[in-house]
Amino acid sequence: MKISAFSPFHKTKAIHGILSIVPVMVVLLFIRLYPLASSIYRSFTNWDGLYRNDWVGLKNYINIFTDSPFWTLLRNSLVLLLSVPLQIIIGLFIAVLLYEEVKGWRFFRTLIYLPQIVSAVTIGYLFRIAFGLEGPFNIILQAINLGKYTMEWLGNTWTALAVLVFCLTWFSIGWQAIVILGGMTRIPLDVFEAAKLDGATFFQRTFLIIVPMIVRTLEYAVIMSMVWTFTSVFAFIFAITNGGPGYETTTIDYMIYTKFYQAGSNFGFATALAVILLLIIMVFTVIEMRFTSAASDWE
Amino acid sequence: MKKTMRLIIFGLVIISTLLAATGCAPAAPAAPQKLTIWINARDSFISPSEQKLSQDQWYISQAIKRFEAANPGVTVELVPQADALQAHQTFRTAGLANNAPDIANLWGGTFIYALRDVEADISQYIPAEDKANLIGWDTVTLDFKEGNPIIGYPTPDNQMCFFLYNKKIMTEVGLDYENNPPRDVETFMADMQKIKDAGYLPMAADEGAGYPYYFFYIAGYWWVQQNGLEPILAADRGDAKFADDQALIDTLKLYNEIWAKGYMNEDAATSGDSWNKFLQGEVALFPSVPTFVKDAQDALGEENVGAILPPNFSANSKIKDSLIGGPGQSLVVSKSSKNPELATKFLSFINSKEEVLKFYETQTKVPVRKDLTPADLKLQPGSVGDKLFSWSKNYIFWVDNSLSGPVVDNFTKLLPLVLTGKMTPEDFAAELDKVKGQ
Repeated sequence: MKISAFSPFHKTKAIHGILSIVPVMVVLLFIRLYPLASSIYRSFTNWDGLYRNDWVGLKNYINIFTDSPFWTLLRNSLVLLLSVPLQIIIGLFIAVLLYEEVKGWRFFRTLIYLPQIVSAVTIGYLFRIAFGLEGPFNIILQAINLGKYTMEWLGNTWTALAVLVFCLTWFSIGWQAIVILGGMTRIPLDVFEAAKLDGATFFQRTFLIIVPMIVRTLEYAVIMSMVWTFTSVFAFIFAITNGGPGYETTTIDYMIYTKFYQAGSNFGFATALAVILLLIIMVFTVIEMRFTSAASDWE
Repeated sequence: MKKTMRLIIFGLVIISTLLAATGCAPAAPAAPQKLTIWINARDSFISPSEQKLSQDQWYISQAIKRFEAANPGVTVELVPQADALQAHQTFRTAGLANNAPDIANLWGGTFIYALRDVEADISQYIPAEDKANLIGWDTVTLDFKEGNPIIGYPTPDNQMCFFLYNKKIMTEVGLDYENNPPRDVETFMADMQKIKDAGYLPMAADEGAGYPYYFFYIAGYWWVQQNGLEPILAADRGDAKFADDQALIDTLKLYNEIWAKGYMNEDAATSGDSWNKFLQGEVALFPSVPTFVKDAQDALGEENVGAILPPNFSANSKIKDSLIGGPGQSLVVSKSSKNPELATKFLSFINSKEEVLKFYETQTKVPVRKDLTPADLKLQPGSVGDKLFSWSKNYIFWVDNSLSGPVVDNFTKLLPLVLTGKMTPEDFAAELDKVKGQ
């Protein structure tokens, strides 16, 4: 007997289904959509965080693109994104080594994840000390007769950005390795063993077998790392360079924070910056998803 | 008749018994009241040396206990704020949520004027005695204008900006700053070269570690002294251009020259430990405020620590032989406070003569009370404290507390670039012009 899609049974089932998700949807709409809509609205005002909330049209956006260091901030955010491929590649190698259970793999699995459980501010201050003018890094350079390369690493734009990229990579490779290792559990063991028996080298196994089979995991890792780099590295920058010298290591999310916390702050300006960051992340996410969709056509 | 008399006597006895009972009854206990107070943990009531002690040993904790003892039923909760600058925004947010503390220790002047929507007008609660005996009311009166609402009290300390110096190094170099301090920039620069030639670092500062203290303590004075504060405030309001302010350009050039000639630590734009270098005797001069005097004396020995005024920028300067200072910090009462009158009573208590004298046992500061003398503070003639006291009669109010938030923010961020020659003073001034008048 065929049951119509509009039968009372289906209707009841549909109503039950809708009713069961309504509470969650209401909560989600409230905690996700409302702040988002509110932020977009505030970005067109001169909101001061209190009671001043006048409509100013596109003024905040015009200020951002003309009278603020926005392009420097964008450059810095994009430079820090360089840490994402570094994290993925190093994390991938480590994951493969752990998967192949190299000697002491249990110890190394714990060791590489260790930075993730240390406070970002603590890590930041350690890097600040390490790359200070009289810090250990310069001392080591002098000790190995490379004294001519010592410098104020955090006082110059590109070296300061390089230190930040290094720090973010060092911090994240443990997380990447564990995520990739999780994705690798999908790969049938016999595929891996067969490749080994056929004489595939470490790099061949990694790039020709593992990578194509964990594209979706890599997609997840890339998107999460990218969003994290765009939105959540404030503590590292604050502790290592304080966004300086000048705005040379200030990122968009760091600027949003400082605009909120300066005296006489213009929250409207900060929310406009947040909306722009949202759009940038959306663009990058769409590009990345299209790229990985093409790469995983074999699925 | 006898019956009537008995009734009258009986009635009188009953009434008098009731009256006596009423009179002897213990007074109803006062309803418990609670005040919450945020205190800046860096350079206000809590000195650097007190930060090493447990909280109940701090002066402010003990003052709170004395206030509680004098006001039964009142409890005061102390909440130290680690970041003095961010405390302003935290206070604003708390005010918006209507759960701000009753009292907050914030930077005075424009910093608290920007928070007027969450601050209470306490004008009517301030005793006349306090108004007469304290200076600095303008810094807690909206827009510095007499007659506007008063939103708090100045903190009891009148901070001054000066150079602390290491007497041992100066003696070794052959400079006598006690009797012959440099009074012009040329002499000052020549002295810095002498100190450098002797193998010492002349000055140390951390200009990129959150706040450019050297600039706002010392170079800020060079800027203001040339033409006074009004042209600077006009540019801040948007009525003039910072780019046209030659005093600013010249000051920034000197600021950069000091670094470029090696008179300041090479990593001044990124370092965060210059104070420790001074305490370790590696540095000759350090831009400072009174909060740090006692720690310097403890580390280097009282006999090895001296203080000098910043040198004058030029002979043509409008203001001379002065310094940046004044009551730069305040204690404001929030609109969230359920008892602004009690909060004001606490502020009056903390600024009372007895309390201020106790406070100065822990820190070498200059009081905002007019009725205290160096003898009251047990200051030895010629001591650092005595010098600060005499300098406090002639100060220029803090430049950073007079500028608007966006200008100060750009100033703070971009100054390290000017210091290290990565940005010209002219470009810097143009950047300030982009955010003026907001």
